[in-house]
Amino acid sequence: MTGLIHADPLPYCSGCGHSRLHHLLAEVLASLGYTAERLWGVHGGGCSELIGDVLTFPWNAAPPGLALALATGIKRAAPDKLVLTYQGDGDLAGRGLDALMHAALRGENLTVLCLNNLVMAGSGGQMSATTVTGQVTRTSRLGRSSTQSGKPLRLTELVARLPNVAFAQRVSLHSFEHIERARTALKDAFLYQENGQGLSFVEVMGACPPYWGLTPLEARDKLGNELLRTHPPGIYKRVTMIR
Amino acid sequence: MLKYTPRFLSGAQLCIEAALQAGCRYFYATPSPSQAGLLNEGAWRMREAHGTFIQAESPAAALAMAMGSAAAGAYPLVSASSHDYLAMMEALSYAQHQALPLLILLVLDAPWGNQSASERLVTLPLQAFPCWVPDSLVTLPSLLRRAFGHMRQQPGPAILALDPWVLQAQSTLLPEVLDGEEQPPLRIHLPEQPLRRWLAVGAPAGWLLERAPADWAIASLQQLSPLPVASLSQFAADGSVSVFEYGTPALSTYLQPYCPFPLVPVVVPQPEGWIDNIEQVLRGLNEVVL
Repeated sequence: MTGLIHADPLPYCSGCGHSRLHHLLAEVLASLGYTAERLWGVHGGGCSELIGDVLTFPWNAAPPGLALALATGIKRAAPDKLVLTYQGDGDLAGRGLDALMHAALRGENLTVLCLNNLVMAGSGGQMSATTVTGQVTRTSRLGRSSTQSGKPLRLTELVARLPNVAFAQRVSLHSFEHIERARTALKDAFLYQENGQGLSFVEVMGACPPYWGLTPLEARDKLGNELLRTHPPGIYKRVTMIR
Repeated sequence: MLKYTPRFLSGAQLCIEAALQAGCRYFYATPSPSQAGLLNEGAWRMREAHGTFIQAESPAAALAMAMGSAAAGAYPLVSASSHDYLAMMEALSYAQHQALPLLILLVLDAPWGNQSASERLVTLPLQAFPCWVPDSLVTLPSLLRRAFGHMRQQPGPAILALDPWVLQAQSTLLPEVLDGEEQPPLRIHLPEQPLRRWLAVGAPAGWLLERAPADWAIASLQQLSPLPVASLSQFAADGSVSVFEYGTPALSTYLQPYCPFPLVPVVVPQPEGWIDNIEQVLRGLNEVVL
């Protein structure tokens, strides 16, 4: 493993999307030649806050939903740093939605990562804004109802429509093929920031076996076979990259 | 050059100038009525000084941006009204926990009919954070610089609590440019015996100041702006003070018990053509009141 990650095994449940994404992120950053001195991370609340204990470069804990605002202040004061935000769907698609949209509107030169596991896992498995219709959570025991709770928010589609967004892609971690796509997407997201082309956004679909009530293998299959129909992977926005 | 000549600055302008002289180059805020003057001034002065200003989407976002800049080694500035301050409490606890040095210009206001809440707010920041309360424009620049100096010694949020009357009063600022690297001190001269005094609320206030500048004026430029009635007792007046207001003399009636000097209501009719009416009021003002 690279020098950017120092906890193994990671402090996550078996089959969690966070642990896969942490390893992938460390590999991508190392392959791009970035060192800890060049990087600066901001994480939100919930399970994603454990990333500060896993990756070795500096991390700031943001107030709930305000990771992008805090990262904006860092980037404006230290423009030579590569600043990434790391949030779950509960933090980013809930309280953090206005900060995300305004950072995108301002064209902040940031890399935004969202691990979307379709529940608010950090607080015990409640419904999040991205929870798919019919999905059972602690606060939707009969499944999410469209009439009561509305339809799930599709983050990447939303972000891709905003101006000054350079790159918006949704990837998944349920198969080798998709993990390779995720690796490429993460690389591109940092290169867009390095080029100063605007906000780059990567939504990573991951599993949360405990709060989906499944084994890790069942959760992986459910993600690939069912849940990605609502949140289909793909590149939703991509401006021409300056090489 | 304007820089070397005496200037007529409002309290908001003075805050920004003093922050720039203290080395601040990062200013984040979101507009709200009583502290909008700080944004209006800071938005262009920060950029003129090669600094950064972002009009944030919410008070908490403004504070989070300041936290980010503070984490990167800067000494940022955030302005807030009382309501903004309450909205940023959650983020402020994070800033305190992470010992991030940032200065909040807190304008202690409250909406109409909520004066008691305003008075309670006065003591709130004093208990939690280092807090300075300038009592006039004379002490404002030095206290603001002292706040920045304190943050360098003891990192963490600090507050400069501003009475809106101080913020919106006007005075002259005489920068004295010295040779060498020493920063020019700010000297402020308030006329001891002002020739003309105004107490005006709402749009007429700004309009009045533009048309006939007073030697010393207090103008509450927004209808929603605060009226910290307790501070009215600090002002002494030899004669009567005119109060401009729309429609009815409700404001002067409300304020009179708190004022040690007589208030003369000058009621401005609100229907169409009100600017003409203000001109009539001004003419009458020159002849009768002042």
